[in-house]
Amino acid sequence: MITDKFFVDYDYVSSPENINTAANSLSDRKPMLLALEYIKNIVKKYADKNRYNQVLDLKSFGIALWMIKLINQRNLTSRFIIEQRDVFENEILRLIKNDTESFIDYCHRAKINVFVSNNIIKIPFNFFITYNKKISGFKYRLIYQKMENGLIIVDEGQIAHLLRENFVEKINIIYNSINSDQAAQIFKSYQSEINLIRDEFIKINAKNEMKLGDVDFTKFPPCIIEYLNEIRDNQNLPHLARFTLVSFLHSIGMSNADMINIFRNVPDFNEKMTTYQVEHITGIISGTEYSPPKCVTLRSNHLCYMDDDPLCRKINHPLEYYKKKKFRKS
Amino acid sequence: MEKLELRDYFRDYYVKNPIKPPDLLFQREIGYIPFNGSMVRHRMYNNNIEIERFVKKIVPRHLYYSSAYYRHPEITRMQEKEWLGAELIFDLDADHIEGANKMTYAQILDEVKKHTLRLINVLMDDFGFTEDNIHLYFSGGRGYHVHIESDAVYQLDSDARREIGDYIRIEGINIDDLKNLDDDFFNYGILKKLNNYISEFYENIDENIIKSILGRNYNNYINYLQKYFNGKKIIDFFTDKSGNKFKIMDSFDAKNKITYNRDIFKYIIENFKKGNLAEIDEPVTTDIHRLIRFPLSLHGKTGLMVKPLKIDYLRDFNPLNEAIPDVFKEKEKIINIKINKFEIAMNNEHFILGNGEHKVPLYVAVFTNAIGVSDFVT
Repeated sequence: MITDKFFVDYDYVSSPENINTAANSLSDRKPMLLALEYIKNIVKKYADKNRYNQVLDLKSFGIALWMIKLINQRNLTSRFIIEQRDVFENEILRLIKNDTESFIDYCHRAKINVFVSNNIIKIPFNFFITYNKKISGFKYRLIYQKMENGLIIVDEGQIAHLLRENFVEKINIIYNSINSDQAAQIFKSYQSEINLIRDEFIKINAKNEMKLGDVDFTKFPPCIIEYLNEIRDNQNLPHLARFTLVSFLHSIGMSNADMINIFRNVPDFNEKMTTYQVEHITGIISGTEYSPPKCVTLRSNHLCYMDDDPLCRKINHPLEYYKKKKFRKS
Repeated sequence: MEKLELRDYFRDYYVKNPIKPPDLLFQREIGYIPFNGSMVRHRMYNNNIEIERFVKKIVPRHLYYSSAYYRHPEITRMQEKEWLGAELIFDLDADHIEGANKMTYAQILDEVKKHTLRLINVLMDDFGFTEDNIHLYFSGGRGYHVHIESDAVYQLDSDARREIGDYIRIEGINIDDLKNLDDDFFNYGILKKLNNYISEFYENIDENIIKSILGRNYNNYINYLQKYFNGKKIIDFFTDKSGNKFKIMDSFDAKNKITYNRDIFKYIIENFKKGNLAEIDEPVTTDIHRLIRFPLSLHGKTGLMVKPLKIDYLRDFNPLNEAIPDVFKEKEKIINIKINKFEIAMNNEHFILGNGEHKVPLYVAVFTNAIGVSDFVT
């Protein structure tokens, strides 16, 4: 742990004994109350589509993560992880700027090789290309890096972004490894309160999901139409196009079974693999529901087919296109 | 019968020469194409003795192992094999070389060698791999394979490997991104090489090239190069090896409504890429389940060995002399050439063979038979 306000001890958070002690301590009830309060607020803010990225101390964060597992609502889990991801990024950026020693200590504890000297930060190329995938912009492509001898010189923003992605991966691994029965045992005395939170979230979530209405193919942006055409023509799609398509269709409410059916047309279709990938992207396996990439990412990966579509010029994200078209007054 | 006779020669090779199994053989999927039949996959051998015994018995026409390590390499379903990691593989062959269809086999091999040398330089200078990590093989066919064995690569997924592939192929750089980079970026890797290339382009500026790009504006451009940007003549700014040259487009050029540089830079980048990229087969690099030729096996379409090479020997290596198995050098064989003329230099000898029967060294017989231009005469 770097400061008592900042959760970075992955070993602590993954230990049921630690969480049990923190959650059921009679002498220090603060972490438990803070975690409950935090989750309730996330749910409340979720209803208004607002963010709630408050810094949690180590114990509260651990308790909240385990409680989220017990609540077991996909969208709540991903919202929690996204909020805490952003908290993490802000905190790590603060350390990079003001407290190099603690920053190095964090990387050491998280088993990440970072080399810092004279304010220059270097990381191994393999760390860079493992965590740059979901970060858009040409500054995150390997070809534009200051690379020498296997090490890349990164700026503060870059390293904070990469560590953020690494944080998400680590938290997802811990989340997936949490045993729900064990979590239920730990939070036995809070069962009814947790049930109330769950019910409240389910209600809000149902309302949110309804807003997009039924899937309307005629409102799709040109990129998604192109991917679907390619599938119809039995072509294999590049990985990022598949990812974009699945996350897009999922966001607008298509069921996983319908999506898997669409992929039956691709030449390398493999039901088990496709199911796995769809479930990963839609959060069933990964715990994170991925959003489609922004237009700029698609463009830099040669997957944008905007041509001269006027609406494309006004938007930055494929989902924006769908929403604008769908709710446009005719 | 033909195929069976070729198989006999291959057997002779395998009986007298050990193959070179990869590390952790028991975690590798083994695949092969027999002389009669189609690809067989999902085999597993626990140790060198087992695989040697298998190769001598089956005598495969082509033999492969998986770049991946699996917990259960013998299971047919990919998902159940339990992928544990994979070597990083680069495949360089004639298929990706411009104009290869007009080259002789020896010319193709030379051209692919150039690309292989470029690849190895980038792997060592930019990626920091050492000779211990880089395993180089003549493929036995029309190129080279480079295997990276290092903890830095085993766990990389396809997307991460694609980034490496793009870097090697200098894929995805464009002027609009480049002009936004700080000067410092041009002191490293590919961009440093690009800057050197730009500097040389302007040091030896070629009138004809500029004319072909700008046509009538040639004189204007020459005048432009004599103007001053940030207290320096533009031509000197371009010949200086450091700093970002592309940023002039957003400052001086934009202010003076000058648009020449976009076309010139485009030309420079295209030519720089041609001279510096290594043409690898990217799908091979990104495939984390790939089967790759087994070291010291024979290539079924040439009869040449998949030969391990020391990196510093690559420049001097001549596959048509040095990848011939000794067992094929010891005998002669009569063949019937089925095409009008076949010409090749092998084992320091030049062969020009017209249609009809010839008595040739066995390696020529095997080679011509394997590529399908001759029959064995019994």
